[in-house]
Amino acid sequence: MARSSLQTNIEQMVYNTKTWLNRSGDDNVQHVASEYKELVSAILNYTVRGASAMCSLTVAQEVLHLSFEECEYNSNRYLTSVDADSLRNAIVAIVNADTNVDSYSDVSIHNWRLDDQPSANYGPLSLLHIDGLEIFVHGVIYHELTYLEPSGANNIDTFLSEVNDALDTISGLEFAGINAVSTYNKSSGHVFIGVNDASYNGNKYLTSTAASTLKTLIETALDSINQLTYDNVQIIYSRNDGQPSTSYVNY
Amino acid sequence: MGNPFVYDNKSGNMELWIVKGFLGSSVGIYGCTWNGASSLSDPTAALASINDDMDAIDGLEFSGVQITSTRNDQGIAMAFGLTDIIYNGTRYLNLNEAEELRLKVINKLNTGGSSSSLAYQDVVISSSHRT
Repeated sequence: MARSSLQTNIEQMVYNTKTWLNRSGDDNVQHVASEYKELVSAILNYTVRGASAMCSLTVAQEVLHLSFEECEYNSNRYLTSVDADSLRNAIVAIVNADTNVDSYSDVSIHNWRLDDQPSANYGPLSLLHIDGLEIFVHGVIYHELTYLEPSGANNIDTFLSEVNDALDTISGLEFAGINAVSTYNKSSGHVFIGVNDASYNGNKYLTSTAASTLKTLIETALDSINQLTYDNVQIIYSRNDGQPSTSYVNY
Repeated sequence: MGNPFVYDNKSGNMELWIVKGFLGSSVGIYGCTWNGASSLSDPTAALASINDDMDAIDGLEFSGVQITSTRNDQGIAMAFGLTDIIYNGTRYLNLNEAEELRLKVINKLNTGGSSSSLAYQDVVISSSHRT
């Protein structure tokens, strides 16, 4: 049985003029995360396992994101585009009605679908926790779909199977599993593919030359799939220094 | 060509990709080259050097250092990340603590053992709280 995960985000939020929430005070981070978990959990047939508030500080700006993880909507963890639109609109209405929110850039729905292969990782969310090779394909359009449905003629399982078969033809490439993420935001749908726990010619950390070769091979394999287009193939390879590191993937 | 380090995939750029999705705080060192290269065939020495530099920062504890290289149509980008950081005994940082830590990291990168080899574009401090 393929595994699915639903995450929703309120992106680049300004809350009571703040883009960094402090530990104490009326608008402390725990208060805002808890308040929003309660607010969105009130949406009919929508359950949220946890809410997180993340603040990032760069030279250019501070950024605040709220995320709701391990969600279900109408008892589903992978949504139809109709349900995704409905859920997004409900969250947008909550944020728009909150006078504490000065602005936000978007509400997005991220639907993850993994194939039946064993996989230790879970795509971009795990980037700091892996030691190895991952591959992403961005901007996928499959049979003119930019949001893959759980059923229908060109459903996400068929898509995963086709991509798996195409990548299996690449000599030297091994991988544990494939996931596909359908994102629904104010612009439109967006699909990307993640290939987890990969190795190429026995290596999990590649030279730039090997990465370039692999990127070309993947593009050729994907080009063999009928009715599939994409914007970009991305190779990501990571290595840890061997220090013990706590896993954050399972909250 | 834009900044190869930032890849906008509608869910955020590479910075957010790397730091997003976990509980706690992190330090990201982005847009890196090591001795002029943005992809290393053996990153062991770079990891050890960054580890030593960060170990020398007062009040900073972390569980490990990771190097991540990315290749896409825009080029190659490399980043270092410190996971599971605690600064002055705290996992979720206030803004002034984050700014203080960011400046300490920048100062150490500019003056420490890595300074002759490492070039970078930005240092990002992220702090995440989960219900």
